[in-house]
This record gives sequence, C-alpha cells and structure tokens, in this order.
Amino acid sequence: MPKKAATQNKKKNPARKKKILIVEDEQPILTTLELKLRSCGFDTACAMDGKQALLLIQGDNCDLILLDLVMPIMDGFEVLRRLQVMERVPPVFVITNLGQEEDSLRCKELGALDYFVKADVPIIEIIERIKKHFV
Amino acid sequence: MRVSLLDGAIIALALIPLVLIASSLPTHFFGYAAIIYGIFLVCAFAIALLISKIIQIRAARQSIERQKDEFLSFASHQLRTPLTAMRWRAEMLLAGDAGRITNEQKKFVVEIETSTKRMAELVNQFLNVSRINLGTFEINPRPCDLRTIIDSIVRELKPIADRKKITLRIRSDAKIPSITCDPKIVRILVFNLVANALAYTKKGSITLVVSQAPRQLDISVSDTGVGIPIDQQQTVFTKLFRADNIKEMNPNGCGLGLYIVKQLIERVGGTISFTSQEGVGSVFSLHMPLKSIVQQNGSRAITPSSIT
Repeated sequence: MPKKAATQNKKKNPARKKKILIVEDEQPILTTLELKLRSCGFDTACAMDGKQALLLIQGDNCDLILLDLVMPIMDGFEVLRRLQVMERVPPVFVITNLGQEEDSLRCKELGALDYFVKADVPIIEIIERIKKHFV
Repeated sequence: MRVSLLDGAIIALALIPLVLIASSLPTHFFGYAAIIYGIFLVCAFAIALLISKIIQIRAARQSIERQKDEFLSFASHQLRTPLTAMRWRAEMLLAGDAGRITNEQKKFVVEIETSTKRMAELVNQFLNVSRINLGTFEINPRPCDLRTIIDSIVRELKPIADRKKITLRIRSDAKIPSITCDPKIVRILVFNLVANALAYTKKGSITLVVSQAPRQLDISVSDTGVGIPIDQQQTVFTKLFRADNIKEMNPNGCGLGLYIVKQLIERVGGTISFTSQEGVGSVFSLHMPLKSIVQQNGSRAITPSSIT
C-alpha cells in the first residue's frame, strides 16, 4: 500500500526531491543522517519523538520515514501501530540499535519495510536501500 | 529456604485429621492405622510444599535472569548509540562529505572507522556470550535456506579475501537439503568459521564444503593457514582461548568466536570437530542435524512451539 502511494507521487512530480522524515531522538545521529541524506540529494524533515513524527506524517507529504524505536514520549513501535490504521502512509524503514531478532520481526509485522541495526551497518547501506526503493 | 506462615498453617491442617483419628480410636489397631495415615499425610504435604518451593525459587531465578537480560539489552543499546555516530561520521569523512582530506588524514580516519566497527562487533559478541551463559539466547528453529546464508557471508567476507589474495571457494552437493534451524544461529556458526580461517591464513585458499550425511548436514571450512599448535588443541573451544602463534597475527581477536560456535551448535543438537596441523592449515566441521533440537539450558524455559 505505501509503495503504491510513493510511486503515484513520483509520477505526479518527477523533478521534486524525495523527502525523508527522520524520526530520531539522539541529536548526533539525527544530524548525521540529515547531512548525509541532503548530500545525497534528498530533502529531509526531522522529528525527535513519536508524537512529533505522527503530526508531521499527517500534515506533511514525506516520501519515506526513517524511524528509531527507543524514543521518549512515544516509541517507534507505537508509531508503527498508529500508522497501521492511517491511510496513504509512506513506507517506513526502522533504524534502531535494538539488535534482537524479535524486535525486527515485530516491526515487520507492524508494517515496517526494512530494519537496520545502526551500529552494524554503514550509513551508505541505508542510503542505497532508500535509493533502491525509489527506483 | 524459609517456611512461611501459610506453609505452617497447611502443615497444621494436615495434622488435624491425624490427631482427631488417633484420639477417637482407642484400640491399638486403629491407633496404628491412624498414625500411619497421619505420617502419610504429613509426608504428602511436605513433598507438595517442597515442590511448590522449588517452583517458586525457579520462577524467582528466571525473573532475575530476565532482569539481567533486559539490562544487557539496554546496555548494548546505549553502547551502540554513540558508536553509530562515531562510525557514520568517520565513514562520511572518508567519503568526502566534509570536503577533501589528505592521504595522511585518511589513514587516521580509517583507523577510527575500523576501531568503531570492531567495537560494535565486540558489543555483539559480549552480548551473545552473556545470553548463552544466562540461558536467554533465543533459538527459534524454522526452515532456513542455507544457500542464501552462505552467499551473504561470502559476499561480506570476499573483499577481505581479495585484499589478502586468498581464494575463497564453496563446494556443495548439487542440492543442499533444507534444514530446520534458527537462521541467525547458522549465520553465526558459518560466519565465525570463515572469518577465523580468513584471519589466520596468510596465503592460499579457504574452502567451504557442504555435504549431506544420512541424518545430518556437514559444513566444513578448511584453510591453508597457520594451524593450531598441537599442545593447545585441547583448549580451542574454551572462552578467551587464543593460540600462541596467532596473537601477533591478529591482535583484534578476543577469543570468543569458537566458544560461541561450540555453545550454539550444541544448543541446536549438533557437534563441531576439527583437525589442524601447525603451518599446514585447519579444517573445522559443523555437523548439524537436519532438524535442530533445542537443548534445554538450566532454568531457561523454551516454549513448546519453538521446538520443532
């Protein structure tokens, strides 16, 4: 479902930069991702907790969400749960430092498209996965 | 083991019939019968009490283990967070995201980048060892595609082999049988063996052979590496073991890989064996059951659904 929405967007306006919403409470990681994504030609929006993220998702037309799990106020699992009942939700890649397999399975059950353990992957791998998604 | 007031009350209640019967039946015969009955009752209650205590203690221990495991998860999450920022920033510096850097600076950053990667691996390894020791290492057997797992490991390690000019070969029966095992464990097992072979081989080749025996699958990794000195072969699988002849060769090793492999292969009902000759090479072989069994470990409760 989310995939479809993204392709429709692409058809409408091919010149527009893809907008990635980064949901991450750790400032150093947030800015790192922001810098890298921008240098790779993406537009970015940021949220530092789940609640803020939901507001942005409802109001903004972002094309993809990078979602952290452990966050104050509202965690990533809850965000995924709430996104399930929303319409035309952009695809979600979970980026977390929770390494347990059960967390990854739970996220995928909740509709996340992919799952990355941040400390274990090079940043470029995440960027390439995003680019692959928009091809 | 403390006996609570409630436990005491139960015993007292159990004694009541004994006292009543004994006092109401004056003849010797009934007296003896009542005493035997009483003794029987007391024993039965004592046993029941003991069992309930054991269950209570086990539950308490499990809850302590769960708490320890939660702490581990939390600690590793917290450790990984700053590591991520360090690793990604170093990668970005190398990619030129902050402008051009000199070759000399590049060398420094490469060192930072490799160290953060190593640190992340160490966090993972310590976490695995702690979970194995605590008995909280999750094992979920399911059909797993060995070919895909091997391919991804080879893809990951090929660059290191290429850099060292070591040939990395895979040989397998035409059809690799499907096995039922936790893919995450298969990955850890094979990855560790191939990574070890790579780390301790200076030149030559590494061959991964997959073959099917009647009721098991054999995965062996042979190398033309330094080998393990014969007097140290007994202790290869002990925690923190590092052979004398490799300490200089790979100062990054921490002696946990083979320990983890041995613990995990046994946990899924398999075995590991090896032959090695110093200066010639080593062959490590995993013998995995086609359907993995989950070994009960200590007080770890494994849900029936996870046992295939």
